[in-house]
Amino acid sequence: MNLDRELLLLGAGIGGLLVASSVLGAMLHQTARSEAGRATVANLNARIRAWWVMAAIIGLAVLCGRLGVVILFGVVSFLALREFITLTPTKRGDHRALFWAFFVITPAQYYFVATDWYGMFSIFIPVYVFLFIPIRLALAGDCDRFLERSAMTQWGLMVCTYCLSYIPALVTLKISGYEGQNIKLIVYLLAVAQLSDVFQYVWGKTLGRHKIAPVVSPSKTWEGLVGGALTATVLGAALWWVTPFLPWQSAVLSLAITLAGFFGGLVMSAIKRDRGVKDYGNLIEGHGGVMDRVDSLCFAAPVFFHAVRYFFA
Amino acid sequence: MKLVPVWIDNINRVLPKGEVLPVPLLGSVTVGAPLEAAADETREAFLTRARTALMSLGGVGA
Repeated sequence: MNLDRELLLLGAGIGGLLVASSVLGAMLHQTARSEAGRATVANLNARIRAWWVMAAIIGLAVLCGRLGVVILFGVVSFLALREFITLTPTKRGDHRALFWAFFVITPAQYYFVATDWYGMFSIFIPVYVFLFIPIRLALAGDCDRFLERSAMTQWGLMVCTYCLSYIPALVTLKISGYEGQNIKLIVYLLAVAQLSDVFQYVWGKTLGRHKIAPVVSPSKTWEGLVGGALTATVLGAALWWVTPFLPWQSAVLSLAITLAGFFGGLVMSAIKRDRGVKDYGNLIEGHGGVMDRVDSLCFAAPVFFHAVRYFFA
Repeated sequence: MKLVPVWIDNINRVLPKGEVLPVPLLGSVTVGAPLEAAADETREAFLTRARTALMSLGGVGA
């Protein structure tokens, strides 16, 4: 465990932001007049309350160090996969393969992260599981929609398990001059990705006019994207002191996190729309399901990990 | 004696017939209004009514 000064400052900053949002939320609650305004503020306050809980859970995991974050994101993957598979039209012939996905493949992936086995961690799901899933479905003997069903399970594992496991995998990167401090990269990634989501929401709600993909996600606007991306990039650059990056490098990486995150949210929205639902679940009050909260991280985490690994490790 | 219809959604996906290991999908349990056989109701009529009540909880319709 590494409770350095920068990590404490970062934690204090996040705590301060939460206090400020709670105060702002209470003030908006007093001033909201219209029916729609009240509903928006009620949802906003529910989101802020959920943020307190999420920040506390992440803080606790970070304090427990490497094993803490591996276990936390292992559980998050499991819950996200649960929501994802529930939404996909699987058949009885998928049952055994799905059992493997939840109870063998997902734990194995996080085991490879915990034991710092990069060679296996990085190819296990894209190669071995990719081969295993159709084999298991073929053995089950149902050819109906075979390719589609193999792809759905593989996709669920790629997004919910493989992509999310890149978050705890950040602790395994070897960056010279930054040894033993990698846990701060996780807090940095989570902070930038979530700030980007929050500011896209704020800018979109206040200034949003021009929809980017009205059919896929009516709430995503150009104003929200540009405002959110710029705000998160500036804030990310301002957090350079917790990272091994220079301020400009931190800005570029924050922009990459923001854009990958935006597209993650867009793709996950397309899947929800196809299945005819608004949210993946209802575990987190105001936010929807776990998958609704981590959709941007699914796309941002692998991009961030490989960029840092290529240029800094 | 009152009978309460309870519909467990998604149960056929969580644990299909013949399987022993469940898959942890999201599900829901819907509890309906209690049913009671009327004094002059036939056995078949009550069973049909109970079946309709149960199916409507699952959104399957009669």
